[in-house]
Amino acid sequence: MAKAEKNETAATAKQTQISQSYWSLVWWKFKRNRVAVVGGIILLTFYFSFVFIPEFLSPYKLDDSSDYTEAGPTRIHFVDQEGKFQSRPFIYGVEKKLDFVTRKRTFVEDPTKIYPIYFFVHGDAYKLLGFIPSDFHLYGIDQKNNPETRILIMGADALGRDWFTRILYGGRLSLMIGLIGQFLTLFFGTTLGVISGYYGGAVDMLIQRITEFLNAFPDIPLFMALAAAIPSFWSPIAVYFMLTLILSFVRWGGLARQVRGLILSLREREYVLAAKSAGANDSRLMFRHLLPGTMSHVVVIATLAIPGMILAETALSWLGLGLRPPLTSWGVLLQDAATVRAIHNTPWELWTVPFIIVTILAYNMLGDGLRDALDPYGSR
Amino acid sequence: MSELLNEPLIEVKDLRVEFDVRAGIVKAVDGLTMTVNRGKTLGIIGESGCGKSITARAILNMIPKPGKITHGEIIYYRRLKSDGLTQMDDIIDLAKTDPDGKLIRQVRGGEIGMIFQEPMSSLTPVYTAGTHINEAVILHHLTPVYKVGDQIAEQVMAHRKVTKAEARVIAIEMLHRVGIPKPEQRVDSYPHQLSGGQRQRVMIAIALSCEPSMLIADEPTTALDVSIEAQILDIMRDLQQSVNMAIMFITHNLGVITSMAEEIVVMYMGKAVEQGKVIEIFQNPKHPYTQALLRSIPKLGKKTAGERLATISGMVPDPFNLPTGCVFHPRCPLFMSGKCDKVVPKWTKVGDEHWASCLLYEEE
Amino acid sequence: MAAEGQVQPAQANAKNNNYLLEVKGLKKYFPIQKGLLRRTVGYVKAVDDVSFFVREGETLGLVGESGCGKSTAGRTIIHLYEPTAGEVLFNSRILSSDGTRQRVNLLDLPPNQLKAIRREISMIFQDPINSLNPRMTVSDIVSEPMIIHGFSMDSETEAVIIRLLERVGLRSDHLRRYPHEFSGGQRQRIGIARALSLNPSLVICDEPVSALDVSIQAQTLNLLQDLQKDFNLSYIFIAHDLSVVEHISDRVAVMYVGKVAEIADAEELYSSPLHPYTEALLSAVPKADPLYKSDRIVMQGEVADPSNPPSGCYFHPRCQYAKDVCKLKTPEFRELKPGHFVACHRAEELKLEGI
Repeated sequence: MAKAEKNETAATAKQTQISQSYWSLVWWKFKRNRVAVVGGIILLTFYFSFVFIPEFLSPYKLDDSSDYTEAGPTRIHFVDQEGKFQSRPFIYGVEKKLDFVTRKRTFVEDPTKIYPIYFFVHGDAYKLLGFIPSDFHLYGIDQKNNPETRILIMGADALGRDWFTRILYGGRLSLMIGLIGQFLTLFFGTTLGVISGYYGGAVDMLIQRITEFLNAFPDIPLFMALAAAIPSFWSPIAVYFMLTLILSFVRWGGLARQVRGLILSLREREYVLAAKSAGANDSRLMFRHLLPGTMSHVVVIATLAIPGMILAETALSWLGLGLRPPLTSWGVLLQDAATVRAIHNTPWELWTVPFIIVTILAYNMLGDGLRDALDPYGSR
Repeated sequence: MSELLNEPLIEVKDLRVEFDVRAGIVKAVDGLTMTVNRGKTLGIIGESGCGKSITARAILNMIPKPGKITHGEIIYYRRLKSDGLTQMDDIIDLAKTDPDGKLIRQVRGGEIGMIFQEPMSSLTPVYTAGTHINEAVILHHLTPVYKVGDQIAEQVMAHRKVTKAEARVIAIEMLHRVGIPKPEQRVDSYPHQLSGGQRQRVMIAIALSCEPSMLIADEPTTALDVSIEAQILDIMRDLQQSVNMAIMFITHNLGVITSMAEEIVVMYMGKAVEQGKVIEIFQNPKHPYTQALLRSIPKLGKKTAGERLATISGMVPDPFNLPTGCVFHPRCPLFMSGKCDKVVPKWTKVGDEHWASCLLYEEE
Repeated sequence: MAAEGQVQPAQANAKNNNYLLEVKGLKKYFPIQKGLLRRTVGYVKAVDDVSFFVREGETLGLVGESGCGKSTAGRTIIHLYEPTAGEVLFNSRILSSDGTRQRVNLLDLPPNQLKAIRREISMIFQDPINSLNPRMTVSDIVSEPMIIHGFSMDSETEAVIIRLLERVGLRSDHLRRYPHEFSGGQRQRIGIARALSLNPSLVICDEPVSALDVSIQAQTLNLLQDLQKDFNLSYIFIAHDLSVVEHISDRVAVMYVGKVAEIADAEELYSSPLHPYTEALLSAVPKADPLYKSDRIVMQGEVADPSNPPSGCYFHPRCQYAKDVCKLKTPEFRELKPGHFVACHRAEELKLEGI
């Protein structure tokens, strides 16, 4: 027997009917995915820190060499010689010693020289975002009165440059190359994919054969060939842009294929037929009805492809085919750390690796979250 | 057992299934009680969202997330055929079983089979027709990449101790029984090589390959053409008689249910509103919803020019914000103010084996 | 090749120039392509020599099982698919200079005139989910045909849209909402409002109620009938549900594997069919009446494959009355009684039962 005993139903929470656009639903669903939100926050932090404010975050300039050649990370102290706790952390000055047998330099702390660490300290002048003049740095010691002493939280390289500073600036190029490269890929991929899927026939055939050719070509040799074609006398910045172009040129094929597939299925949707039966022309069908339908997928594909872009830059630069000093990218930094000697003498140079790994993981976390969120009608 | 006696197979008692979604809690099934008798067909009819499919899934303890059974019992009078000679009886509450446990997996497919509406999506395309049926029990789907024969065989092997060769023989036999021509050849075809009607036949073969005591058919013919629908309904009726199997037949089509079921439950917004023999329900509907539903379908061969259909006014209520009292009262033509919007109707006997939940028939 | 199919002089009474729409010998063949070079190895004859007409203000039901070409026929008429052969004659208001209707063949029209014709013929689709773009608001969806035809989105246009929405039973505050916020029945109303936004004279309804619940189906059918009266619309009503088609149609055409088997007034077709397929179809429908008893004709086998149809009459392998002639000769589509057309060799001699 079916009985409804309690009259609870009436009391159930009233739902306010708010019209929600597609994107607000997406946002709502995305927010509920903790992992994706964490990934997104990491990426926002990284991009903000590395791209916009590395000058502020690091105490030194990128190419500020010093006597601290191959010096390890500076130890930060809270307790002084007499065992008293200091509320302001400090570092000791160091004295360089050379081991005459191994020819290895060592740095010995000199407890008589104490340099307290300050936050928002005045240091080298720079222009934030290229136009805001400032000389504030997040942390540092009183640089003006002690020009010879350094605080190196991740050690220094063979020229005595602060490794943390180099990671920050290297991140700027590496992260940007992923973003700009992916943007170009998106542009090529979606445009050609939409055209290919919508018109079909000979156009489709031609575009598909080109993408197949590009996909069939082994990545690294193709990169090498294209990178080798960049004239050596070009400025590093020109090389940088060339490299982004090359990366996106090689990678648009996959995206174009996926977009084409989506267009092929969307093309048969009744709402497209409805617009067509009302007399809509090709461009309206493509850009008003078909393209928006692919956007969610494209965003996901793009997000998941950016790590590949970053890794490709890293790999190329590591091979010496990509960016070259004086430009600094994570790939360039890895190249520095790639010799046995470097790993033996300056293992802290491997600090670059966790930054790369965290970036890649964060992108994947974000991409997975987006994939679920962008299909808000899929599962309720 | 005597043919005349109704021996219960599944007893659903005060079942409630709730979905906890963003906007609140949806009571997909709200206090449903009904009985499926051994060897008989119970029809469940209602519009989309009335909870009929969720009820079917609840019996197999396969409620999709974020739904769960929050209250009630689903008593299953299990009869184990241990060696074909002796019988072991057992009573289990399916609502309390572990949804991923071994027990419910034995029941699913092995003892209670299920067929769905859309034959293509539920046939796995990589298996041939035979494999499908073998597997039915596990996945309840045809895998498009397997031959149908393999799929049947897999299902059989999951629930019976037979060899691969024996399972194939059973698969061919099952395909033959559901009326697929040349089953020896068809057993090696893939789902996409079959027509919609044949795929639904394969689904039935899978569901029946383990000789279940009950078949749940959820809109099995909705996607099919009229001529194929007639064939499938015929097969289901024939097979039911030969294996003495109960059928729970879920549909929104009043015509189909008339030709299949002996007894009907009419559902509205997660509740049963009326239950009775088919003839009773059609000739003497008691609940205003049933009456309106019967009037709103165009009758074949009874055209009068310019005639309008009777409609049920308004829309199905917002599941998050159900009306007070009787859930049907805002749409009901016989609405009694001060009563229907206040009092929840009880399940009342309105005739011989005929119940309805409507305040019109309740005595003070 | 497809193009060599000849235009047949279909119904003899060509005097009827007052037919709103007249379809003559319409064919739509989809090529089957195989291999790397996409060689055409055959054709799916989805619509194969179909002829019918629609009078002003009437509803022609187009009924048949899946794959019979009824939807393709509807879509080919308004050029969603490029027709292979045939004539689609339409009495146009817009293309005439003097306010009367001008008879044009849609298949010969230049693109700009064809676009203009789309104001007069619109379409309602089956799937209430798929037929509305999920990224567009109700206002965008309903106004789209107007925008396409050069109306600007001003207050006047919006007033038209609001009137339309209210006419189909929606509210003006629904304008800024998205399709997923509506129930199936409401979504279908949005689709109906869109179809009516340019004030058409012919609406092709492609299974408009088959995805809807019983009670919503009744509401929608009533709405379509009311709108027909109010706006003097003609409908081509495509559906597989025989009882729905009978209810709404003045005349009904039964299709089987790309061809029309029979056309007649609805009452006559259902009570005294002349084609064995119509008879079997009527008999196979499950009746919502437990006391209805009749000897059901169960059609053997499946619907023929339109890419490889049987010889002669396509229905002969499933027909209980088939004779040798049915296997050899394609039956002629002819007017047996006034207004009752049938394509069956034995139509004259058979006594078939209706409902």
